[in-house]
Amino acid sequence: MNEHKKIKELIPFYAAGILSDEERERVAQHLKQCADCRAELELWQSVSREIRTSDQKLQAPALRHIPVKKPSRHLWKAWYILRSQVSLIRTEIWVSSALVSFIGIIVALLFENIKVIYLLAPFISAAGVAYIYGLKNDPALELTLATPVSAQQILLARLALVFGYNILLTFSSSILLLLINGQVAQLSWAVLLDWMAPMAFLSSLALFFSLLWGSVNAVVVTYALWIMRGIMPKLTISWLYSASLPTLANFLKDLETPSHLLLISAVLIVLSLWFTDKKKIRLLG
Amino acid sequence: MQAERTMPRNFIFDPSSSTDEELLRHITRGNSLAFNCLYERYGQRLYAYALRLTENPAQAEDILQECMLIVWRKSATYRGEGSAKAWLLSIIRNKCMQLFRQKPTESIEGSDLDFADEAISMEKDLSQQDERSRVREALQRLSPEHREVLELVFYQGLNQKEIAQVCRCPLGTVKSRLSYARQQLRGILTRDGLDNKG
Repeated sequence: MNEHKKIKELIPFYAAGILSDEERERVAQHLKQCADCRAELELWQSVSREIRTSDQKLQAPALRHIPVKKPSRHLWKAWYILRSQVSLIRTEIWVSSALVSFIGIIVALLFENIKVIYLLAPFISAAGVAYIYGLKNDPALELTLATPVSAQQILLARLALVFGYNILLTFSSSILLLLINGQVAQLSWAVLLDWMAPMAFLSSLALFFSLLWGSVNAVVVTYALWIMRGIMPKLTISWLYSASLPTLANFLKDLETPSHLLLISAVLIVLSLWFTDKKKIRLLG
Repeated sequence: MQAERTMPRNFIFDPSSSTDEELLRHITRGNSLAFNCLYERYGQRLYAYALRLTENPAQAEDILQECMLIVWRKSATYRGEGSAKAWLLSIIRNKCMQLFRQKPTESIEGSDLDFADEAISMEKDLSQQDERSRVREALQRLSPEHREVLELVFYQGLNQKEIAQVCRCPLGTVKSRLSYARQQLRGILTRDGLDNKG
């Protein structure tokens, strides 16, 4: 395209006054020596004048609904934080959780025992949650923390995503198995709490330990504690009674109930949030 | 770093000196002051564009209200890919297109016919009118999509890329519509013997 044609294309925008300084100067220089383009400019100027004059006469109506308060402001914010964190969570977490759940379904089918899924669920979730935070798990964490979103919001968003994902996996796996075995009627809140409470407890424990000692150590310690609790609960409790520590023995006995596990999980999450802020100060300070 | 941590979140906000993008960010946080400022800045232009597309003041007003409601509720969906002005105009355009799909008889095509009828009746009086009214009539004879491109350039002040974004069409289409509009205008004005320089 030669210069004349290029300038001709720019003339309407020159007449509208929306060209950059450089382009405006270029057009102005060309206009000095081109009568054809000057005629073109006159046409566009008369068009511009007419459109502007007729539109400027219009009066915008008053707004009928001036909103005083935005109702969904916090929900929007939560949604956008959640969405922004999906891509920052390690892909391996999603893949490995789904894979182990799938293996769990196969094993449960082979042994005709749905409890395999319920036993596996806390381990899968704890392993995932242990890897949601920290510089090793998220190289861009420092950058993320420099945004107006707080460290606690980031941690909560990631915890909600990974924990929610694992709940969804376990729930769908159990529904699938119950459907295959024709036992859907057995599904109840008590059954759900039986696996959700240990899952919440082990996940929050893994999260807290991961902030203290790193992801790998957190997984090892959490698994070890959970296995020990499973293998020798009676032994420990009877030893505590014999050692005249009945309060501690009773406390450990109470740990069996879902409500206690959920309560401890909540405390561990609060502690983790508090510790995240300390960690952020260390990281950025 | 300490300063960053202690910086208050709601620092003093002056809407009149804020850019459009800043206003949208404040609207996302529920700031009605920013919302009203954006309306003061663009309400008239958006109404003019809606009216140009619908040719119906009542519909144009409804569309403007709907557009502002979308801005209030979904300002977070503005990703800063184009100018805020182009984003607002594209909302108006989408709303108009939705309206035309619901009521095809009142669509742009319908108003095109009105333009043609109007043009024929007015042709008789052309010789008695001044140059400005001749340009106005020439503009009215253009098809709505060509008139729309001129509106976006000369009243809304959009560049070619922004027009393509608002109209959701390729850049080449914008260029060809502009070129066609020019040819049509030149043709109408020359045919009427009113453009002596052409």
